[in-house]
Amino acid sequence: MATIELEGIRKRYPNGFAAVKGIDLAIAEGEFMVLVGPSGCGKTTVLRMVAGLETISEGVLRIGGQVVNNVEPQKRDIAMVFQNYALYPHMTVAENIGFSLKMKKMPKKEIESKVSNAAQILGLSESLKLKPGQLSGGQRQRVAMGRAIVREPSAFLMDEPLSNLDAKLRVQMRAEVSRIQHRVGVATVYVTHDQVEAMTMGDRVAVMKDGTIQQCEKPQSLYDYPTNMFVAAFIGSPSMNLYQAGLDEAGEFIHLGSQALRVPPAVFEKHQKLRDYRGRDIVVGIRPEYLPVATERDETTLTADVDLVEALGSELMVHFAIDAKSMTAEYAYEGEDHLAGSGSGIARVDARTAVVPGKPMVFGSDLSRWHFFDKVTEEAM
Amino acid sequence: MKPESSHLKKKHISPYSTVRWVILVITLLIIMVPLIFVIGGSFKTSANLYQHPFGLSFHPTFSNYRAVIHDGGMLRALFNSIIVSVITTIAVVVIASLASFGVTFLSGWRGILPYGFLVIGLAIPAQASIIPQFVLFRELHLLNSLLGLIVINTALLAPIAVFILTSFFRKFPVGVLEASVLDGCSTMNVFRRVVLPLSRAPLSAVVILVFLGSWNDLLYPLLFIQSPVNRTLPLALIDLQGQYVTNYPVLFAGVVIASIPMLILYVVLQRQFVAGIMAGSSTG
Repeated sequence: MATIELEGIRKRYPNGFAAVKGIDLAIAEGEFMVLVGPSGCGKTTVLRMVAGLETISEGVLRIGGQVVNNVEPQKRDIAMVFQNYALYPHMTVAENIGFSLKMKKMPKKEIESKVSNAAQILGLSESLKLKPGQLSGGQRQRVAMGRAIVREPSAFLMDEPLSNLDAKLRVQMRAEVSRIQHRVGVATVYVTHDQVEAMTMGDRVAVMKDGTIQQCEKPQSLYDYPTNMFVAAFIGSPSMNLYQAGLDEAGEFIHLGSQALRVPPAVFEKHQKLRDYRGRDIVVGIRPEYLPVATERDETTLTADVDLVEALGSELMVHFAIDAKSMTAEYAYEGEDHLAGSGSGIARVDARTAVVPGKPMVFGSDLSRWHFFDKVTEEAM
Repeated sequence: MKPESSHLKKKHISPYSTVRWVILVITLLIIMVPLIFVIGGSFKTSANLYQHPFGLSFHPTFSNYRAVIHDGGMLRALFNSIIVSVITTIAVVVIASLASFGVTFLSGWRGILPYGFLVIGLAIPAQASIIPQFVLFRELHLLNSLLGLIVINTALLAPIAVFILTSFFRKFPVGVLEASVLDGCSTMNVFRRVVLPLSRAPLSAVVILVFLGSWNDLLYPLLFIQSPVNRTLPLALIDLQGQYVTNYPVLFAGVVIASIPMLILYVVLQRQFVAGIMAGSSTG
């Protein structure tokens, strides 16, 4: 067991492209750290640098307190689960799992007992004699996990290990990977682009964009207190509704398109900086679940035209539009921003609510639950 | 599509398929006729062969084979050919697989430079460098020896082998290599335990190609070998042709015997050409 520390880590490729632009991160013993971000944000590069598969251009990497910048991958005592599993097709499941032990010249008897132990944890005892080609996707994934845990390494690295599984299996394996990680109790860096995986699995989550960490917090803090528009929009599904709004000179009303909402004093207490934005444009962020259905219009409600209703059984996703300009934190994530038209938003309401597409609908708005961002810097207030 | 029209289509023979069949049959004849002629002829007497060159012999004779086998020179040549071809093949496989691994996975000029030399080597016809080679081998005292043939064959055939193996290694899943590195493999172990076992298909192609090239080589034995003791099979077969009269059935028997080792090699290695040898490594 060991800690992993990254200090000012940078990666610049020979062609001048900077994939990672200075990362500071400390992962405690036994901690499950998730790196999440859109594709191309540098998260996999960070992982590969920790593994030693990629050289570090600048900065210091310590594993277990030792600087390992120039230590070969074999000697870093880390295990990695690859996105496409990277199993050895010519070896049986048992040989795949036990390969690293064989390389360590461990006695055969010991390898056998460790492999069968790992196989038992992963439910692979029946398939030990099969080759990877004969296994299902989920089983292959578990072999890849087995190969990692059997070594009892000082750190685990996982590169989107669940992204090739179907949705149902992914949910199942998500829990299983978490369980195994807690059981083994080894510092883990887990890379994913799926914010649900990040939120459910991580002890802490580091949100990355353009080679930098935007925010690194416990999942709930990340959700409740995003530091900027990017994190706000990235974390949460459906993502936060972001609109351009104006705060009037007196600081009494927020103008959202043609609608004006009264700002209770409590909001200024919570967001002290908001006072400085009187008479200026700001960006407001509203989580879909904080748009409850209201019966009557008043100074605290928001009226919107309903475009579309998605019934999920447990709740309704109401796609609506208001006449305010919707903002998108500049990122591409599964084409979501592509879909966001002008003024469109989503509210998550109770499944029994009567909603008619094409008709206006009134939402209550608790402004103390809203998020406020600087329009230029995109930072939270 | 309506069932009637698909039914009609089945009966229809397109001009394309007709051309294809004609080409196939012609190719088959080009290959089969000499083969049948040689194999059939090896069981005939000279007189029989001249009378009925293509006819079946109802009284097959093994005297030609006996003549070849009892000719001590022929067996000696067979033995020499086996020695030269087997050692050449082993040498090429060892050198070329290691070279290809290096050329593929070494970064920057260390990979490109040697590969460039090998490709240039491929582009120069062997005949162009025969005289310097002869002089060089004479200076090295490698003329008139099997070792000389092994050296020259290895040098000539290794670049092609590197070419084949490199194109295979370039498509090798990098993740598997990285996984083995993280599992504690040294570079040599990555090669030995992961790359080689997964390269059986291209390696068997290389083995066949190199063995065939070395087995059939006439040019260099003709140039380098003078003593009858060191003759290889192609040389011995040439010697079966007289200046004025050739005993064709005996020559044919020699040819048949000469092709048996190649046949065995093909049959043995064919099993290695199994498709999907990489199946199951990744998610594919």
